[in-house]
Amino acid sequence: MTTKFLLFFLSILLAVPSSATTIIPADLGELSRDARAIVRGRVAALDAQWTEDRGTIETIVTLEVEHYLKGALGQTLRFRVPGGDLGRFRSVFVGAPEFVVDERVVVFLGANGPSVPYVLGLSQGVFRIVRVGPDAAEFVASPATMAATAGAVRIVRGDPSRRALALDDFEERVQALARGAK
Amino acid sequence: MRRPLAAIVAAALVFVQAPPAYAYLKFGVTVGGQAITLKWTQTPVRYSISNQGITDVPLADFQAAVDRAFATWQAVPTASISYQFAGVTAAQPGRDDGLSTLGFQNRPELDRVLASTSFLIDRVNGALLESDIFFNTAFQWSVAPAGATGRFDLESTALHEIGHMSGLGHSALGETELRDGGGRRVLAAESVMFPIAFSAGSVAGRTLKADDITGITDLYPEADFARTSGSVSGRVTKEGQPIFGAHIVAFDVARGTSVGSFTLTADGQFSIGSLTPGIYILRAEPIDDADVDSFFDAARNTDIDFRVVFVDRVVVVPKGGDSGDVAVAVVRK
Amino acid sequence: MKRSTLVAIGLCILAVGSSRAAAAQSVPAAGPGRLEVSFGALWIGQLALGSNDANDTTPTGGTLKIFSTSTDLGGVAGLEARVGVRLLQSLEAEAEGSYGTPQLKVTITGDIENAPDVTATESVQQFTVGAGVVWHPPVQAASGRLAPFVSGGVGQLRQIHEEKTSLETGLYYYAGGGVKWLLFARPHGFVNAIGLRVDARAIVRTKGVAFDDGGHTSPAIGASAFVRF
Repeated sequence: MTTKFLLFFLSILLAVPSSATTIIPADLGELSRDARAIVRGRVAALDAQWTEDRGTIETIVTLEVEHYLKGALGQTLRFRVPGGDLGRFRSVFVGAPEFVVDERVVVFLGANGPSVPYVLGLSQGVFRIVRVGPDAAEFVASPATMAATAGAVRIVRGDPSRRALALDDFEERVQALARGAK
Repeated sequence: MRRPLAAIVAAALVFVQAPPAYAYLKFGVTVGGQAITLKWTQTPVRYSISNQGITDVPLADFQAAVDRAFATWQAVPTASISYQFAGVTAAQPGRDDGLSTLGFQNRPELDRVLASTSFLIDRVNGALLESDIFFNTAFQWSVAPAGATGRFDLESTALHEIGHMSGLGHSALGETELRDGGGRRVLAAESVMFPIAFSAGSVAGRTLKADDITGITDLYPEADFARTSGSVSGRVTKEGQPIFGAHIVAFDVARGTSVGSFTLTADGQFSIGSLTPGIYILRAEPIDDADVDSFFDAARNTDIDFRVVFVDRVVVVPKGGDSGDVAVAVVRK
Repeated sequence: MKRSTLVAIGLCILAVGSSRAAAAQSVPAAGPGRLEVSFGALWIGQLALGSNDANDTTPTGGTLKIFSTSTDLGGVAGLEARVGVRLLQSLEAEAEGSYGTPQLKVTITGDIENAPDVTATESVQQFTVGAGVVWHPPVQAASGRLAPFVSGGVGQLRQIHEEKTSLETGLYYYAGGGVKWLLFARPHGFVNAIGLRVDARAIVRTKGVAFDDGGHTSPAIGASAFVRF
């Protein structure tokens, strides 16, 4: 019985994942060029609210900015993600990125005019910063998918070259791509 | 911080059933520290079709394609889920109105999202109130039987999203390539629940694969199925330490089918259930090509630093039982 | 020559031949004694179970091979025991059983993501219990101590996987032949004969550890010592 309950919980320890949609994948170059702003910061607050038409719930993420890789939207910026908890309801937009207060992220933001920005490509536009190793070096948690520079290249899982990028290398690359590098 | 999802009505039922093992990924919720599966407790699941936002697909054709997609899931012989068309509505999908609605929406801020599924849950009593699916009018759609060049197949996309609506997460059974000049495309996939769509014009995503069938069966098994199916379980380690997020594929050597799951605990344990009894081999790989958020809670530390490896032991899935603990040792890249 | 003369000559030949055969069979073909017990070794050849590729579906409905597998139940040397009863001078009925531990092997090659080729294995405990007949043809061997025979039978097969989580059952059919070599024979006494038996046979198995319900054939060679009472 113990084994059964252990197995019972094995596949349920995850919350609803942040991305459960059908997506058209974007590589880092596309995201870098299309973003209105690319910013590294710390999640300071998460506030759910009804959308303007009061049709559903969205969450406003407040980010304390550490560094802009592209654009400039102030030292504290707010962007929207679909879904959230409000009153007795929880709206889950399975595709929207999830955030944790105090986590550090790099986000690629788009905007329609003066409205509150949104994350490009939903969770594709979020790169989480993790500290790895005894010296707590900083890396982006998901490997950035770089555009192929000479023909199509099949992605090989387990390829030793597919590694999490050091944060500094990642940001340098992003800035170059945002400037139009390939 | 987005708090864990509220309970669903079937919490008690789920605990009583306590099935022996699970296939790949299902949506989970945590209520009062207890983890339970997000699933429909009452069937048929009723859905409405929105007549708003229709662009290049007539409403009747849209409904027909969606109906076919629902029917495909319902036709899985080992699963008990059923769906029922509840009518056409003027409401748009994604509005928290108590209706499970499928429809088109213009979502320019979601310019790389073909379609998506949402849930509304009552945090007080844990009821799953509705699940909506929107199809982004920023893209061109097709309901043509053989597909249409440059247009995404509506039925294939609906099939994937209805899988989410039914409680299934993503599958990692697929191969992709980086395109010359940017972007990524799917070379091949062996699950409808692979997160990236086939290229425009393809209709290959209209057919459920073994991985999908196992998942929906695991969520909604027919009465006798648990007695006739089996499971594989084990643990993945690297240099003796457990790892989270390793993709485990169980390949049925007699039938030539694959079902995938992940190590989902800090102890590196995995379990793949609702499998047809038989002889299997296991393959472990990192999801270092994926947006990890597509699969796991963002708070998890997924290990992608290892090479693809096969387990050198034949794994036998017995009828009504488990394989026994399979040790999978991976090596650093 | 007259037809009647030809008939007479033919009858004479037949009578002489029968008498010779009768003379050769005045002692049972495999020696004296009615009950035979034997024990020895049995080698069963490898059985190919099948091959399958792991394929993903491409956008055009084609396939992309991820890796290839080929599955065999390995050859095995095991133990065999037999109890036979003489029914007629040249016909025996026997019950037989065997035990062996063949290796189930899945050879995995050609992984698209460069995983090393591997042969996944497990040990299978294999039991057979069956019955058959042995017929000694009326052949006069060069040495009176050698008795060739033809055999055939059917039985049940049980195979237990290594983790003992699953039992497979099936049937087997065999046909073959061999020779018994009498080392010692006496018509009276408790022990009537001691000898060696060697045979080769084809075994057709159905179900058990298999990919399908069809018959699959493998060769077998047995060698045993027997005692007749």
